Order: sequence, then C-alpha cells, then structure tokens
Amino acid sequence: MRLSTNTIYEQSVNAILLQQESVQKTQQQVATGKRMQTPADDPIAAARALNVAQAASINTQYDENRNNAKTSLALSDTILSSISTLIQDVRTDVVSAGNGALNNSDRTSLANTLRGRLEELVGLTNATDSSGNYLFSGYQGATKPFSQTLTGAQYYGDQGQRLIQVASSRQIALSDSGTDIFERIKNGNGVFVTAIGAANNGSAVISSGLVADPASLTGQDYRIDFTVAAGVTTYSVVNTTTSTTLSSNNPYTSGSTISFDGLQFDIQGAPSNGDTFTVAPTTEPNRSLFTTINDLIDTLATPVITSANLSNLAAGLSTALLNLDNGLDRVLNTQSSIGTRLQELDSLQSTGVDLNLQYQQNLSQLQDVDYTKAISDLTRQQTYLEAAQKAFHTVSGLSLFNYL
Amino acid sequence: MSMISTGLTGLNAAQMGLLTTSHNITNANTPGYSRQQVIQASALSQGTGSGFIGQGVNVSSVRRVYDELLVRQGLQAQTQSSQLDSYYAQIGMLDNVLGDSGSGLSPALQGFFSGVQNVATNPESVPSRQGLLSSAQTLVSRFHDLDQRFSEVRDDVNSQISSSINEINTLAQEIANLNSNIGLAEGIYGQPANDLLDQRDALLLRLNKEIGTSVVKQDDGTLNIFIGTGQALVVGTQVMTLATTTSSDDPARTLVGYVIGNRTALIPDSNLQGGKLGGYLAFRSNTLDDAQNSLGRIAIGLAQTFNDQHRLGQDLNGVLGGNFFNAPVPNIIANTGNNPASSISASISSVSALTTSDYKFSYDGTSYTLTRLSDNVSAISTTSPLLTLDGISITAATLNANESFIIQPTRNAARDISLAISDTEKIAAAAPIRTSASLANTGTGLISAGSVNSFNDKVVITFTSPTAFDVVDSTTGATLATNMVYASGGNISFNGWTMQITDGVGPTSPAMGDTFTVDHTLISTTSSTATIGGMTLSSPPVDAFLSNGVKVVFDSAAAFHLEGTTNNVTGVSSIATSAAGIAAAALLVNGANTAGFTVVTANTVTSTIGTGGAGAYTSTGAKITISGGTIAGVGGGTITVSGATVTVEGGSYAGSTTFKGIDITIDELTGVISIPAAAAGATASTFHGRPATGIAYSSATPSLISVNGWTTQVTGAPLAGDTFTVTTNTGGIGDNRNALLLGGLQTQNTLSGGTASYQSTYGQLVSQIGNKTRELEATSKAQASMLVQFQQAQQSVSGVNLDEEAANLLRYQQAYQACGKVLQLASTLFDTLLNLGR
Repeated sequence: MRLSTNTIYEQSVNAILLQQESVQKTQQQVATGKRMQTPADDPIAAARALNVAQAASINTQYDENRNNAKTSLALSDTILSSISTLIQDVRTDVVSAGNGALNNSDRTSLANTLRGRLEELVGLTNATDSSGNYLFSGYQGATKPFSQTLTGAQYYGDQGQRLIQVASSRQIALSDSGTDIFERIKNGNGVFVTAIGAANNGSAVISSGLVADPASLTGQDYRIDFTVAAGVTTYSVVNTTTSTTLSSNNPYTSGSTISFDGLQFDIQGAPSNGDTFTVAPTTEPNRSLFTTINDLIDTLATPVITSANLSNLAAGLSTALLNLDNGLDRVLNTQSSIGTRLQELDSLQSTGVDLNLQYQQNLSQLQDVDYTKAISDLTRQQTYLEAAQKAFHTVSGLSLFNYL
Repeated sequence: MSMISTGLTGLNAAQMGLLTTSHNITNANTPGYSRQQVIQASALSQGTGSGFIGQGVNVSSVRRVYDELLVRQGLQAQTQSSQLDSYYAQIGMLDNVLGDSGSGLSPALQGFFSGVQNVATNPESVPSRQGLLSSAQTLVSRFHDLDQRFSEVRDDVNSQISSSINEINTLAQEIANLNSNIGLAEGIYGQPANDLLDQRDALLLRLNKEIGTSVVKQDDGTLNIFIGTGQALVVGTQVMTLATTTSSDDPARTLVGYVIGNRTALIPDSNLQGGKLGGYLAFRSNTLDDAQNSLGRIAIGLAQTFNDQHRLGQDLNGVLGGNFFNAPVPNIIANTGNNPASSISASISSVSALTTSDYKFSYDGTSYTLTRLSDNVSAISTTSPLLTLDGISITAATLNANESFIIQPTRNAARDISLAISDTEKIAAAAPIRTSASLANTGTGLISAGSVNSFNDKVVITFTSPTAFDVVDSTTGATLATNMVYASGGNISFNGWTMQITDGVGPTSPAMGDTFTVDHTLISTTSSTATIGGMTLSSPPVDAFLSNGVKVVFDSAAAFHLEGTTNNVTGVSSIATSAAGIAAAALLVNGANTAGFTVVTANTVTSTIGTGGAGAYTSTGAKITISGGTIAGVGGGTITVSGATVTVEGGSYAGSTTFKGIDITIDELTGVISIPAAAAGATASTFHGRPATGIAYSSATPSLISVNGWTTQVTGAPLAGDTFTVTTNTGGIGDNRNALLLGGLQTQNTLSGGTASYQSTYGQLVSQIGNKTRELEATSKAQASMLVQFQQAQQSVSGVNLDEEAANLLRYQQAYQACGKVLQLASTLFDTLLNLGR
C-alpha cells in the first residue's frame, strides 16, 4: 500500500502515545495500590466494593456495640454479685435469729444491723453507670429507681429493657429493669397463703406450702379444723367459699403432708382441740426484696412476750427465709442470664473478627492491585515504549532527500 | 520549427510538473491537502503522407488525487468518533466524582448510620446525639457537593452546546463562501479548483467533528449540507443559522433550533446526532438526567423513610419526634405557554415506587395525562385531575386546554435535602409507649416491649358483617384487631390514618367478606360496591389515641379484654355526655367502638337509687352496691354520689343522678348502666368497662394486640386477673427502641419497590455510570482506530509521500533537461542549415 509521509509519522507517534498511556495507567496502579482508579475500570467490582465496604463498616460498628454491651453487662454483673452476697448475709442473720438462745435485745440489735443492710441494698440498686445513668430504672436513665419507704422501697422506673444491636439479626438486652429483679419475687409460693387461727391454743404451726398441681387450683378459701378427742387428733378440710367439707376425721401426724385441690403443706406440733388454720389465695403474689427485709426487721424488732409472739416470730422468720431464697434465686437467675449474654457476645465477637477478615480480604481482592503483575506489566510496557521510540527514530531518518 | 515547438511543450510540461511537485512538497503538512498531479497528453499529431508526426505534449489539467468514497467514509467515522469522544469525556467526569472512595456518598452514609448506632447505644448522651447531628450534616453536605458537581457538568454541557452551535454556524458560512468561490473559479477556467476544494473538504471535516452531516454534491460543484434527519444547513451559497434557546418546559435546559425570522424553531435532541453536539445531547438525556435523578432518589428516599420512622419516636423532651430531614419536594415546571394562574401540586405518596424518570402532566381539554418520560407510559383520566403514577400524586386546580407541566420528582432532591433539627434533644431515640406487667400477676405471662405502628404498614380490613371488621397485617398475616364496630359513614382509623368507606358519592356499608388493603396510600379493595374514600393522615402521623393508657386484663387464662387506664371522658373509653345517656363502657379503640360494649341510647327506666348512705340498693332490674362515700339529695331529684365505689350488677339503671369523681365498675356480663349527662363542672368519673365476650388468647399462638396505633404481644401463660399496661413512655430518656429501628433502615430495602437499600441504590448508580463509561471507552477507542484506518486509506490515495515527490523532482528535472537538449539540438540543426550557405 502507498503510504503518505504523514501516515508514517502519525502511526509512529500514535504507537508511542498508546504505550505511554498504558505505562501511565500501570504506574498509577502501582503508586496508589488500587487496581481501579475509577469505577469504569471495573464497574461490577466497584459496586461490589461499595457494598462490601458498607458491610465491613457495619461489622465494625457492631463490634463497637458489643464492647459497649460487655462493659455495661459486666457492671450490672458486679452490682448483682454484691447484692447476692448481701442477700446471703441477711439469710445467715435470719438463720441465726431462729436460735432460741437469743433474747429480745439480741434480736433488736440484729434488726438494727439489718436496717443498715437494707439501706445498703437500696444504695446498690440505685447504682449508675460511668455516665451517671441508673442501671436498673428501665428506660428512665435519669430517674433514681428505688427510694426507701416505711414499708420497703418504692420503684420509680419502668419495666423497659434497653437492647443493643450486636449482630445483623441479633439484639441483646443491655439492661434489666429493677422491678423485674428486686420486686417480681414470688411471695412464699406465690399462689396461696396459710395462716394460724387467731384463737389457737396449741403449739402447731403450718408451713407456707407449695403448689402440687396447678391445674387443680380453685382459687377458693379453705379451713383446716382440728379435733382432739380421747388423745386422738383428727382434722377436717372445709372449703369456706362453697361451704362444703372436703374430708373429715383425717388422722393427724405431726409434719405429715396435707394436700387437696392442688395445694400442699404440712402442720407441725401439737394442735389443741378446736384449733384452726386457714388457706386462702394470696393477695400479694410478689413481694419485693425491700419489703421482705423490712418485714424481717419489723418481726425481729417486735419483742417476744407471749407464745403467740413466738409463733409469729417463727412464722415471720420462715416467710423471710423463703422469700430471701426466692429473691436470691431471682438475682442469681439474672446474673446467669447476664453471663449467658456475655458468653454470646464473646462468640459473636470472634465471628465478627472472622467476618472482618473476610470483608478485608474481599475488598482487597476487589480493589487492590497485584503488585507482581503490575510491576511486570510496567517493565513490559516500558520495553514496548522504548521500542516504539526507537522505531520512530529509525523510520524518521529514512528519506530520499538525504541522497539528493 | 516544429522540433523547437515540440521541445518547448515538453519544457513547459516539465516545468509544470516541477511546480506541482514543489507545491506538493510544500503542502505535505497542510491538513486536508490532496497531492496534485499534472495530467499530460501527447499533442495532436500532424498527419503526413509518411504518417503522423507527433507535435509534443499538452498539459491538459492539474488535478488532485482524490477518492470521494474514502473521504465520505472518513467524515462518517469522524462524526461518530467525535460524538463518542465528547460523551466519554463528559461521563468520565461523573465517573471520577462517584467512584472516589473519599468523596463519594458511601463513606458519608456509613458515618451517618454509625452515628445512629451510637445514639442507640447511649441514647441519653448529648455527645452521641451531637455526633449524629454532625454526621447527618456531613451526609447532607455530601449530597449537596455531589449535586453541585452534577450541576456543574450540566452547566458545562449547556455552554459546550452553545459554543458548538457557534462553531457550526461559522463553518457553515465558510463552506457557503467556498461554494460560491469554487463555482466562480471553475466557471472561469473550466478546471478543478484543487486547493479551494481541499479547503472546503477540510471545513467539512471540522463541521463533522461538531455534528453529523449528509452531503449532496450539485452539478455546479457546490455542496448542499444537511444535518439531523434532513434539515438543511447549507444549500449552495445559502446558510441556515442555528441558535440555542432555553426549553419552555425547563429553563435549565439549553435546546437547539433554527433561526426563522425572529423566532427559533426547535430541533428535537434526538434528531441531532453525531459530532460533539450529538455527544453532549446524548450524554445529557441518556446519562446526566438519569444519574442526577438517581442521586436525588436516594436523597428523597433517605429523607422520607428516615423521617417516617423518626416521627414514630419520642425525643428527649418526651414529645413525638418531628422530621429529621427536610424532605425535598418534586420540582414542577410550568410550560412557558401556560396561563400563569394555572398550577398543579405534586406530592410523593410512596418513595419506594419512585423511578429516576421525569414526568409530564398535560391537559388537552378533555383528559388529564400523567406521562413517565423515560418510556412514555401514561395514567389518563377524563374525570379528575387527580392522578398517581410511580408514587407521585398530582392534583390540579382548573387548567386550560393544552397546558402542560414537567414534574421532576427527584432532579433537585440531592440539592434540596437539609437537616430539619439542630437541637440534640429533638432526636427521637425512644419509643413513645412502654409496657409493663402488674406485680400482682399470678400467671407467667410476659408482655413485649411494644412498637408504634407505621402508617406505611399495609393492613387488610376484612368485613365480617356490614357493621364489623377485622384487621390483619398484610405482610405477616397476624390478626391485629377483631370485631371492630363499623357504622355507615363512620371513620376507620388505624396506624395513624383515618378513612371512610363510600360508594363513590356518600357513606355506605360494605358487604360481608369485602376486604380493603390499605396503607396511607389507599391501595385496593375487593368490594364491588364500596370504595375507600378520602384518607387523612394524623399529624404527626400516629394514632390520635396513641398516648392513652390501655390495660390488657385477662378474664381467664384463655381470654382477655382491653380497657382504658383512665376511662374518663378524655380517656380511651368515653362517656358520652349527651342527655341521651352514656356510651356504656364504650371503649373507643382507634375511634371505633369495640365489640361487646353496648351503647345505651335512651333513658327508658326511671327509678331512684335509694334512701341514702352506703349499702346495697336495688333499682329497676339492677343491683347497685355503693361502698363508702355519701349520697346526697336522696328521694328523687338529683342525687350526688361522692367518693364512693358504685357497682352495678344485672339489669339496668337509669336516673337523674350526678356521679362525681367516683369509681364505677360495670360488668357487662350482667349489667348495663346509663347515666345522664354530667352536670356542668362535674368531675369526670373513672369508668371501667368490660365486654360481654373477651378476646380469645392462646399461649401456643399468641396473637398481636394492636390498638391506638401501637402493637404489642402477650406471651406465656397469664391467669385470670392478670393485667398488663401500655402507657406513654414518660421520662424514657434511656430508651433506644426507635434509634434501633432507625439504625435498621441502613440495610433495609426501602427503595426501588422494596428491592434496594440506600447503599445498594448508590452502588447501582456507580456501576451504571461505570459500565457506561467503560462501554464508551471501548467504543470510542474502537471508533478512533476505525477513523485512523479510514484516514490512512484516504492518505494512501491523497497524501503526499516526500520520497515519491523527490523522485518526481528528479523525473521532471530530467525531462526538463532532455527537452532543453531537444531545443539545443534544434538550434544546432538550424545552425547546420545556416552554415550550409557560408
């Protein structure tokens, strides 16, 4: 083909320009470490990189959230540990108060000690986090949850539980409401209460009992009537709501189990003829830890003078013991739930670290330049460029006019 | 003699050859130059008896070596290449802006949602809240910056169009001048005007760099040039002038037209193909509009969805959240031909349905048309100017025939989005309600934290009879409410909206089995007779009764009912204060009576309550127990019961009695009470109602409880007498439920019909622009190499090769010398003759 002189020059120059462009592009890749300078270099990878970067950023945020959650939960756990120790101490005091060797003044001083413990408990339940927000007031971080009253303590928070996003589909509870830990504590068995008849003469006491069969509960009132005739003690069970006698002339053995309509309890000691005990549905299914301790203080502060006082003391102490155990259960349950949450956070965190690594690898694959390839490309392109320049030099020297 | 003249012709021809060769050498670098050749032919020979004797050589013409077909192909390739190059250059700017990992939208979006998460972690912390506001401001600024870059590119395109038009006009004029000169020159000499022709071809090439042309050669050598679909630009020596003008639909858009007299006749963009101008126009309509709209759609989508959730929350001051962003509104541009008094209004009813297209609303005198401009799909109505398409609702007042409006729902959204709040306390991180279980509960039932219903939630309202309906969540299928009472003409309220059932004209009752699928945008109905009437959204768009406390009271382990916590005249339940009697235990839930409660409408029985003091009284058919308190004014007339608990069992009671500040319990299983209007100034009475039939509860499949605009769920095994309470979240500054929901929006698919999140919508935009840039890069490169091929082909015919010209120089020089020799010889011969005579 016939070539014009312009074509010869243009072709050589174009070849050089083309080589320069690719050298510059590779050079930029090497300099920035990025494979793509603009999305047009690889549009699909660019869009994917944006999505992966968002996922990575969310994952980092969750990691931050998990650390926050761990701090908060650890703080709650510490406070609850102190509270459970306190409850156990109070329980020890109750057991020692049952010792018959104690006199009224011993009990009064015990009551005084317990007053201090109650104040300490109120203080602990009003614990705050590092930024001064109350731990156990539900949603109302600025509201002091408990304030001591004559009968225990009043709760001013709510039942809200703050959650925190710790993984894409997992929210974990960051706080527990004070009312749930310290107030929603089963009072006795939580269903019925037993009581000694006011006119009883015997020494028999009735246990607080338990629910043997929830399905058979009637929610009605009962009375146990004792008859002692010719040295033989028998009792009958009367439903006072419907005025029907359930059973009569049952032989009595101290401490043996009495059960009917799903209820179960026992009576110990020697009842006198005509002694009665009542069983009625509870009007207070839950009793707060504060009320329990406050009642305990009242019980201990009441001097024992009559035998009725003594029965009341025994009844009061046994109720307190039961309710303290229920309260301890509640606190320990919460602590174990916090422990489970902390455990879950740990495992989520290690997943999060793995995920992060994966995202970084993914991002690197999408965005980063392969240096080995880039540098070898650069060397190759340089060679091409030099060749093109040399070719230009050679071709441009060829002219017939040189020989004229 | 003839030998001299023969030699002379050769000498002349060689001289012309040398001149032409020199001309070629000197013009070797002139753009558009075609090498010239001397065309020579032997002169007419002289016939003699001995044969024909040659008389030398004639130069018949100097012509350029030229292949018209190759030149035409080169022009075509050039105009295509210029179009692709200018498109590529423009889109490259967008590509750079969007892809930059530092200045793109992605980092700002991520920063913003990190801010939301931090508020969720520390809702009461002012620094966290300030952090959210700052990152929100960064996000808004990023939208503005990106939009600003887009607008700069748009301005640039507009000015490039103008300068391109100027260039086209200049070139057209010059070509017309050359047409005239060439005609003149060739007319005089009858020879091709080679250099003028080359100049004209060079101008034509430059013209094709600006715009695609088609060229028709005339017999007189002039060229007629047409652009677009056959619009004349140059006809002989006449030039049609092009001009730019702003669009009557959109003042920000530069359009191209012909100057005819003192007005400009528009040429549609799609008719102007090829060249830089074609590239700019194609870039603007195919890429720039769409890209700016896409960005705007993210801005508007984020603003609306975030606002919708934010308004369901409660701020630090305990009031319902307001707008977080100022949501951009659709841009409406009235055609400049419209009557200035005509106007329409456009609103966005569903952001998830939004597209990236612009729309046109027009009225031709009989029908209203709303057209999506990307594919010309229309919604048409002949009766009402109320039209909705792709989540955009248009209404218009009186319009004149042939008026039109352009609606750009998303074009300026990225520019217009801004922060609506600057006060950290106004961030609504909490939910406005909270739930609690009574400590007196004996069962193991738990109540969920509860959430506020969104007016975006879709529900299905199924009529179980003409006067009662059930509400079911359309997404989850969960039953939200059953046996809601409906009266013809009454309002149905749910999730923050209120609507009526009509037959198209007035109130009506639907038939049993009719269903209405509704969110705040009124979706569909299966009824053949009834339709959904006008819908209003509460402001803020939550249920009007949201803040009213409600108690969930279990009547047994398997049934519960709802009652207000403060069932007085302003509470959830309401005592009608008309003389007709109280709405007995009418528990107004979402403004409608719940089933089982009866409204007593008239005093039918007159009786007296008794003679005084606390105790049990029997009125007609009813047993009333008054415990505590005092009764004044006994024995007829107005009786005032104060400070007492009144219990009515069985039958009904009616009398002219004023109850003040008392606690009344009505058990509707056995009794109904009606009490006349409270006397002026009477203290509202607390009023507890209980329906005849409760709502069934099953611990195996506990259903949702949804009233007053909130939804909660009781799980576990509650027992009779257990109560759960839902109240306002007073003091709930540590609550982060709404912040968690706001944070969840980051990954929720809220846009593009619920298929894309904010980030993935942005990713789509980036990959769309990236792909198009890549495509253009490839095609413009391919076109450029094609152009080079055509240029080389053309050059191979017409280009000057200096070596060739060097050879020609030698050739013509030798010819010249040879002819000189001929003359010398002729002279010698003549001398020989002269010497003969000496």
